[in-house]
Amino acid sequence: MGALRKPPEVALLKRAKALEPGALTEIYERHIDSIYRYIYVRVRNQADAEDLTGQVFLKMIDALPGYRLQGVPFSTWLYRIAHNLVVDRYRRAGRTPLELSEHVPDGSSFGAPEVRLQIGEDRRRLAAALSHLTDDQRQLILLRFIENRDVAQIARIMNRTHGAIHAMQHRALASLRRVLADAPAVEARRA
Amino acid sequence: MPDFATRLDRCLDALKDGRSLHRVLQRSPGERDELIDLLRVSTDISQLQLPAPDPAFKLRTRNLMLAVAAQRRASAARSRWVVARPLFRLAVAVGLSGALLGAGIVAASAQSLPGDPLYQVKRDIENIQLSLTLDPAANARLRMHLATRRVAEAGRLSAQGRVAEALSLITAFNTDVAELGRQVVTAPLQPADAGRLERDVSQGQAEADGGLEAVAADLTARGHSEAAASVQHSERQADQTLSGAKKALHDHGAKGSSRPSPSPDN
Repeated sequence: MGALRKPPEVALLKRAKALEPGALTEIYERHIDSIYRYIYVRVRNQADAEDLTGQVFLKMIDALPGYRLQGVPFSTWLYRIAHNLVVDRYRRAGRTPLELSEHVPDGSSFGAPEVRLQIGEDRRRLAAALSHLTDDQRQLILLRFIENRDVAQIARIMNRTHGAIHAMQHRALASLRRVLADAPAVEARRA
Repeated sequence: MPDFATRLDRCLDALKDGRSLHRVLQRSPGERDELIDLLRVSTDISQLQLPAPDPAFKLRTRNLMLAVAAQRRASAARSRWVVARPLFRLAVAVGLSGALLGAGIVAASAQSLPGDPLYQVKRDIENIQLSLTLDPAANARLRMHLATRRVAEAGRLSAQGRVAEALSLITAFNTDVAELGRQVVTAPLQPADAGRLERDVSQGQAEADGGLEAVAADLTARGHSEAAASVQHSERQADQTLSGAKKALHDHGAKGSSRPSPSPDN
């Protein structure tokens, strides 16, 4: 069954399928940040994330004429391209150590300096906790809680069943809770 | 009754939609505390700020994407024309090339740069050459040669302080290299041709690298550090594409009858 879309998006995609520059630019601006973050969380360094993000949009140009408007939602289709490129890169190069916590911004831009510092520290701990997850779990966490995708979309992107996504989501959150329990700053602030 | 993972997901949906969790939690009193703990973790995650892409990178990638799209549109238009009128088109192209050669314009345009009256003539001739070079290996070799020509032109523009135009040519270089990368993977090459083409691509890559490094150094010396960084990024990107192309050609040449395969499912 085809996904429901607002008419303006259908019109935009029709123009994009004809490789019209205005439509391509609009699509690019809509998706570049989220695709970059999605890739960054998985490859974990800026140069590789930029390289693969660029490749996603070049692949998009090649594949757009064949994209079916009644098929999967466009963003899911685009994430799928990104997913395949990352998987391909992993196959060729193997995995690299995760240092995500080093790149997470310090946090809130308001409040007293000591509060800002604490919030920044909490976020770093949380980001560091993400490194204890598997690659698939980290990918799911990003899509579900940072990009706000629903389970159906994530299942399509990751090529899994809804049940598998539910189970993976549960395991990922439970793992994060366990890791954060060993790094008590976040929990202590809640108490 | 749904399992715990599904109940957790319902709570997450309720939280996301701003609905009351009370009813969901009431149905599973024994799991209430665990559900609340996991929901807290999810809320913390949603407040994480991941790095945003660098604005210069976004601009560069957008321009490259649009350049490739323009090339695809032109290529599609050319294909339609070729299918419709192959002999007429060939005759026009050959006639036009001959006329230009006869007038000596080709030679005069060879040293032209963007902004010069003959520069468009030069690019048109290049496009005609590409259209008429039907052998896949020769076509790829010509594309590599033309790509390195863009780098040489960028170097001359940079030396004249025409930074934006130089960067535009570097973008054109990247577009050509990206096209070359795709071409070597999909073109029906003979194994022997693949081996020769691999060596030619290596030579072209070395030439382009040298040119790009010189442009970056020149821009740095003139105080255009951002532009220099952009050129260095382009060099890395091209190196990666060309290394992939060489590997594909090498595998194809080594395997003999088998073809290099593109990335799976992309």
